[in-house]
Amino acid sequence: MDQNKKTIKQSPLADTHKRLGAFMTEFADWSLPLYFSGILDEHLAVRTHAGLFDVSHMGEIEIRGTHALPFLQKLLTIDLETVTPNRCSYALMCYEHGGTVDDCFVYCFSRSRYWLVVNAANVSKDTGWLRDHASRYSVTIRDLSGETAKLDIQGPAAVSIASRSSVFPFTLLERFGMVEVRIAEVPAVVSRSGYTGEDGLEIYFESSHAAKVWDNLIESDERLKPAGLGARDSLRIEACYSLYGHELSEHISPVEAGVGWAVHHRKKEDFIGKKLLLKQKEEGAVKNLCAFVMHDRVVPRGGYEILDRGDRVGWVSSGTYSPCFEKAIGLGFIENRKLSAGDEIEIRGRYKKSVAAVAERPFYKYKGGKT
Amino acid sequence: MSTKENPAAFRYAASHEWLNASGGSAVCGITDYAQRQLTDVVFIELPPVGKKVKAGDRAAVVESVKSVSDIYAPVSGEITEVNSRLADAPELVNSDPFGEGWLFKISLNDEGELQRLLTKEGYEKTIQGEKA
Repeated sequence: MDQNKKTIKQSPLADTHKRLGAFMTEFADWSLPLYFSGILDEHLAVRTHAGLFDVSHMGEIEIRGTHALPFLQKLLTIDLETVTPNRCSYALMCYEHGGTVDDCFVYCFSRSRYWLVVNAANVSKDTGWLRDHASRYSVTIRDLSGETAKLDIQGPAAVSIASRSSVFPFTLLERFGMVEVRIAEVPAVVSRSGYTGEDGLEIYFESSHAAKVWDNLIESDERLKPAGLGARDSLRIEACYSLYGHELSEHISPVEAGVGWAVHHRKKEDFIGKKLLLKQKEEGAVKNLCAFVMHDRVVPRGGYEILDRGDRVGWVSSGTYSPCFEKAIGLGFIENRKLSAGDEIEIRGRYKKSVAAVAERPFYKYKGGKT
Repeated sequence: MSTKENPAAFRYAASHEWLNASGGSAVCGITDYAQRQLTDVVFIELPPVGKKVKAGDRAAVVESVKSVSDIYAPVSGEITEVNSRLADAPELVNSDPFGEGWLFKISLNDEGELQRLLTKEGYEKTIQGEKA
């Protein structure tokens, strides 16, 4: 065996994906489906009906203890008073310099028990960061990622489809509500949330039950499509959701990435990064996220240069072909200047320069259920 | 998406182009294996008719949802025709890579160059090597 080869983690649904003929890819040291029937087909299924994603690579970190709340107030940018028991919320962890450790979803079970759902590539970094800051708090930090499977069912029909697999009618759940309930008879944590811009659920459970839950959901609706990471990426770009490593990083703050709304600088507790983030909010950041639509059909790719009247003014962070708008779209950062929707920019690609127009964010507005 | 057989009469480049030669000219495209790696094709920049290319030169660029890929001329010659249907239906490259999803036709400078291309069996060994 090649000594340099990293260990590739297998999803608990690896056999299911093989049986379904999934085209597999490697992402954050995991082997996961890139697509089943095709990225565009799965994307449109999620926008019009429903898709089922295996996202078991995502990390789950449990924070327990009498100081769980004050500890997370120190570490997260949001005010945890807004995340009451049985609710979840988008949040970020930052460095003192304002750069981003990771973005995550925080789940509140009680004021002494929370989950952070984090990016797969950042699980060990995040766990280390949390532990490094925990010494003055009575908390235990446990990485549950290895034993936890995660399925996202997303799309306008997703919530009613999933309700067939449970005694709990998920249609009663509010957006960002969370419930502990059995699904396909398996104890699960379920939230009404997602990463696609559609209504839907995120479902967490013990990974040995993965095939049972997957099969139960798939068999309950013949139009529910298995969907892969390819569609997950094109859907999140249409919805303008950040992906760590692209729109967020150690060198990109939440304010720069356009998620300053998740920096609650008015909360009474101090939090790591507050000083710099507040300064960026008040004085403006050097670089700012911008969305754009290509005039031709060249797909913008991460790293392409953005030009304004010939000058390099930034770079592309993500791009895709949007099946909903039938246009190539992208996200990128613009440095030291303000551009408005409609302004023309140029994208210097691998084989030619293309014209694009700055667009309003998001390209695709959330059309989900109960808010 | 079901896998499609590599036609036995075609010749292949290790960079995943196919070529179907007859009477001093050839039709070229990309293989089923290639289109599966690329994901959904959304745009193809085709060469101008009349362009002269050497074997291994970039002849086209394929934009898919996940990637952008150079397509090389498998042999030297002149581009005599491009598949104009791809402008409105780039998905033909995914649905019928060895047929309606062809990319361009090329007149051959030197039929001897065909000997340097891979047979179906040789190409399939190359793919197996990539997968390992």
